[in-house]
Amino acid sequence: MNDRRELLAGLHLLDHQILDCDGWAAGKVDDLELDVAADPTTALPVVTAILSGAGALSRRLEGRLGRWVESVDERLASDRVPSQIAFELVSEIASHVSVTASRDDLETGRGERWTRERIVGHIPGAGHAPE
Amino acid sequence: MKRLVGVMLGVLTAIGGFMDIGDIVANSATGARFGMSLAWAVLLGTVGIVVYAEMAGRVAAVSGRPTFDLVRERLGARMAIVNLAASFFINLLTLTAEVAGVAIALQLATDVNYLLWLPLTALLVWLVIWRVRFTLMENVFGLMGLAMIVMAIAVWQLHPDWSQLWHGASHPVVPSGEGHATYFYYAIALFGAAMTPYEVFFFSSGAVEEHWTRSDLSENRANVFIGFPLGAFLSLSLMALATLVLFPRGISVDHLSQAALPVSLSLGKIGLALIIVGFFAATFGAALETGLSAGYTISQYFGWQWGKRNRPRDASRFHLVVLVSIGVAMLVALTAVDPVKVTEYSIVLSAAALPLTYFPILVVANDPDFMGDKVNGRFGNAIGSIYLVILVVVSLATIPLMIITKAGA
Amino acid sequence: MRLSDILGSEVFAADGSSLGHVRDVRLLADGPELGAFGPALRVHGILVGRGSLGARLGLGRPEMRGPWLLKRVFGRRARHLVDWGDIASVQEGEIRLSATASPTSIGSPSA
Repeated sequence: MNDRRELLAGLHLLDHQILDCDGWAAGKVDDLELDVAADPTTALPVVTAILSGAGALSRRLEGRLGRWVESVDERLASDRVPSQIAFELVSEIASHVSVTASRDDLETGRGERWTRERIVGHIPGAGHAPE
Repeated sequence: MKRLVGVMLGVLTAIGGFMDIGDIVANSATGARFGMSLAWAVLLGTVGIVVYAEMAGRVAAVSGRPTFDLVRERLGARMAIVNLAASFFINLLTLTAEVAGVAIALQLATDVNYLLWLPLTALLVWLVIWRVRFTLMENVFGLMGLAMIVMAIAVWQLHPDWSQLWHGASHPVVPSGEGHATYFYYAIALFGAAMTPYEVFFFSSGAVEEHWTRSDLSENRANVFIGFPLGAFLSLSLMALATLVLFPRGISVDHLSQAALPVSLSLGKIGLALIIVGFFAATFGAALETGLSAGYTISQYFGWQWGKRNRPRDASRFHLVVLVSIGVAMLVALTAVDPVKVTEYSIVLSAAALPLTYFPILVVANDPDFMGDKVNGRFGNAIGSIYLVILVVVSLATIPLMIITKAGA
Repeated sequence: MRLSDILGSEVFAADGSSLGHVRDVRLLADGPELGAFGPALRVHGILVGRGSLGARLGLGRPEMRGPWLLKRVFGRRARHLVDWGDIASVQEGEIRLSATASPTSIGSPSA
């Protein structure tokens, strides 16, 4: 659900923080996927997914830096690039964009998972909140 | 006591911001070279950081959003990454200097060479971030930093001619033998030190870490209006000490021990012990502030989970950035670069990047979508706008002045 | 197609004259049902004008009452609203309008 029927994509969605169902940060809205063929009766493009992560961001940075980030992301990624969050999962568009899934179940969660499982999780004390 | 503890976020932010190793040396050095004639630059910077830290804290409390989150959202991905690159690099320079600064404070206390203290220092900084609760960290280093009030006592003990000190500060003239360009270069260094961006990164993120809400807005104001003026008061005390002791003797300052000299001259060994504790707390506080800010800025740009309020494994990329930054800072410091030079450059470079950080804060503090009825008032907007113009002028003047004066030589 | 393919593109009328750049994209929630989200967001039009930072800052909106200085410098509003149906082609950072296009001049816009 979104509070407004009318939205401006740049102002209200792009670069906003994504939160998962438990309130964890799950990336930024780096871009939106528009499906031109999804609604052939009117030919108006439909917003089908949020694109998030280095692969989506790099296109917006353009230039040499963007191309470099995109190629690194493609090499590191095991699945689809750029990572997507289907719009069916979006539950609220306010100052944050909330989704109904857990961040670990999203494609966009793979960077965080990798860092946790390969590096940070192995450091003593990683499993306890600071005291 | 509860009141006092309640403002420790502001106190730690300000002590780490105003009294990091570069500021300690810069304040002493300017006092030794220019007397009190640059006090205005400290005051100008203080009003600026008070106005903008209050806005950043209010935005964080009302909308739950820290500064770099706003930078990304309002400037867009491209402009924000330019800001991120600049802020992160400058922050890393400062972190390097602070880690070295803590080690130098330990050297002053123990006579063991600071290079040997570096690995332990870096480990301690990381351990505090990894394991110590935010409020505890804030209280311990905030309170220890208050030991620097000994500088004000030292000024008073020297029985200065107050009217002469006041006259020097209120009638600024460029001392003979110093060029105008150099004078304004140091003015920018002092102004930039008061308004270093990592203060708002840290302060606004700290407000989120402490779960501030709308009902904490009075706490936000108390933090800002007590913390930052206290930092400024300490800066001016240090400047006055150098004016009274070092300026007449023609001693120039390029090491932390010289900054401590006037205190020990005035108050003896106890004074020296206290000022070393204060230097330790301030540099350690600044190391924590910049170490955390490294993680805050990157994580908030990319939208990663950040903060030390949760288990580290739940914010793993944030903690990885912090860990790597501290490691790199330690390695750079081990090459025995002069930490004072490193901070001087970082302060001046950050002056060049200031508008990119403060501009989005001013915009969002006016946006009712985020702030509801807590948007800026007319007065706040007027001062905020004036400062934005000052920041733009300063940022344009910084690099040319740095080149003309050969970095204040 | 991605949103970033549209945002920032230069917009040309059928006669080749430039109208400015895409400053924002107008979405309405009136598409096919998308699970829990409800009616999907659809692209209905583009806001076209000069300058690019202003739209992102949201300074041109009437509910933003200050600061005066920033509103003066960055608060310029988009000039035209173009319906999606009036767009003939989108490619390589250029958007061309069809010959029948009639961009609406915006009096009190939302961007």
